[in-house]
Amino acid sequence: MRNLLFAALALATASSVTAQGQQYVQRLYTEFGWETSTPLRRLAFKRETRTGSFWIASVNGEKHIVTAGHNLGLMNGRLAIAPQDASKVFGTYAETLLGRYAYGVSSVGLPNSKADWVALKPEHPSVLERSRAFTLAEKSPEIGDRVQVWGFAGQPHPKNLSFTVVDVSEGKDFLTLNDRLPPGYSGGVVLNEKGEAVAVAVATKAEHSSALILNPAAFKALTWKPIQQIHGTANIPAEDQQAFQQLLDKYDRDTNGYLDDDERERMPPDDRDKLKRLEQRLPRPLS
Amino acid sequence: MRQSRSPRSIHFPHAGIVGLAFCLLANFTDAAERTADGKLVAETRTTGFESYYAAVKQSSMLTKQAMARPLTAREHFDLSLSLFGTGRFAEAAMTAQLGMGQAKDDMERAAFFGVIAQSRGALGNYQEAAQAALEGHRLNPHSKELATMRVTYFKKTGNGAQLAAAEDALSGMMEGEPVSLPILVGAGLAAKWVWNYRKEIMVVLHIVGPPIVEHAKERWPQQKEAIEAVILTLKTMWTVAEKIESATPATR
Repeated sequence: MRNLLFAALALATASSVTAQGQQYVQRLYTEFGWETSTPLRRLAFKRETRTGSFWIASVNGEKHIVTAGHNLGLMNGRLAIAPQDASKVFGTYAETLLGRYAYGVSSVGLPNSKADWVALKPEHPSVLERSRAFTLAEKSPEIGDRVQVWGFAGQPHPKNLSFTVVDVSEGKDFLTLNDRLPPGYSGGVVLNEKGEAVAVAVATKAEHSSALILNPAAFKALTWKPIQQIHGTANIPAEDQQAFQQLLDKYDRDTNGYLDDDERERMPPDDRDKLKRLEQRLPRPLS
Repeated sequence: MRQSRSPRSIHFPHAGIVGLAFCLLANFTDAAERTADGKLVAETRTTGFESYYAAVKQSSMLTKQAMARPLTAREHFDLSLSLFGTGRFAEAAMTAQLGMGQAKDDMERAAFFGVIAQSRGALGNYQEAAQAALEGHRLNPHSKELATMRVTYFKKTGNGAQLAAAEDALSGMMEGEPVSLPILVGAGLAAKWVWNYRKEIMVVLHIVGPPIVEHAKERWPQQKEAIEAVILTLKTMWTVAEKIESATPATR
């Protein structure tokens, strides 16, 4: 009975210590929506929710929210979504929310290298006040270093996994870890043995995963843009949508409800140029 | 033409007697006159009818005024709940919105947001209801009601990101608060102390136990049999524990 009592005590103590990690890494939610044309000449609105992780970095006394760029639907600094046929997309919509209390994002800091990480500024300072910031490591990681990755793998509390650094790029801009990362860890923090942040987790393959190494100079070189400008990159104005719909209705469309090459050949040059110009504004699929 | 009788005289034949009683009671009501600076200058005794109707009129006006224009946050909250309870959802939401300005702290503001969320939800304005529940939950993160409303209304709006965040917040609250380390250590030490001094405790219980049991039997005579049954069970358990203890090797 005595042993059982102390075992229960030890278990409860361990669980209360684990719960302290909640304030370090939080979950990020992004809702994507897009309008497509259908064979019945109607617009269909589709939605998709993606989740990732974010954390706070303390850089020269200033706090920055850090996450992976693709958590916001960004690829090379541009909004990219992945419908089956992006050419049929009329307009897009995206909303990014921070943490359980769903705080909005006011602006996005894009790195000049167009790497897959971003810094965010929240609409409300509560997110920064309630979270503990990580200090960036002064020393770059090396091959053989033991690291921990913290993130959300589809549950309300964060998890962590231990890895070994198996490769560091020549430019010391990204590192490779010795195992795969489950979905949801995107944007999670990579910590060294001192508990300092060294990188942000961004990609995974079947047997290994990658993280981008962060340093104070990268934060200085960020280009800040309002979130509306980022999420609105692929949005098409209403008048253009109308013009597009009129063009589609004017000519014979294929079974997918779109204009095939033969039909385009038969179009007057003015309409063909107009169609080409409108199509260039459509979002590209995620590469 | 035949004149119809007053319905009052048919159904309430004693109305006159009741009215007379009111008048007699009201006749003893005093009224005082005061100057502009509030000094009492005279005391007059009014007639029964005048004072009664004046009092009724005044109280009716005050009630209507209070109902129409609540002043404090509490009055706004009570009125908004009453309006919600009688199905006047739009008015309930509006009253709660007005009361928000009188709220002292975040807890009171969260309570108003709860009323707004429910009222908007009842009207079918799920987007506004969900936003109100979210604002309220941010102000009072420990409210399970607001967390539940958040989930319910964002489910109606079909916003996946907001719904996922709301579900995470609710599921996190439902897991329960972790017990703090000092409490666990204290409980462990207390249990260890009881275990170490279990024999001494039992000796003390043997001395003080019987008078307590006798007192309990006197205090609750109907539960006499139940008390005796509990004592018998405890005695049996203790005997078995003693036997196991005596049969256990000393090297334990």
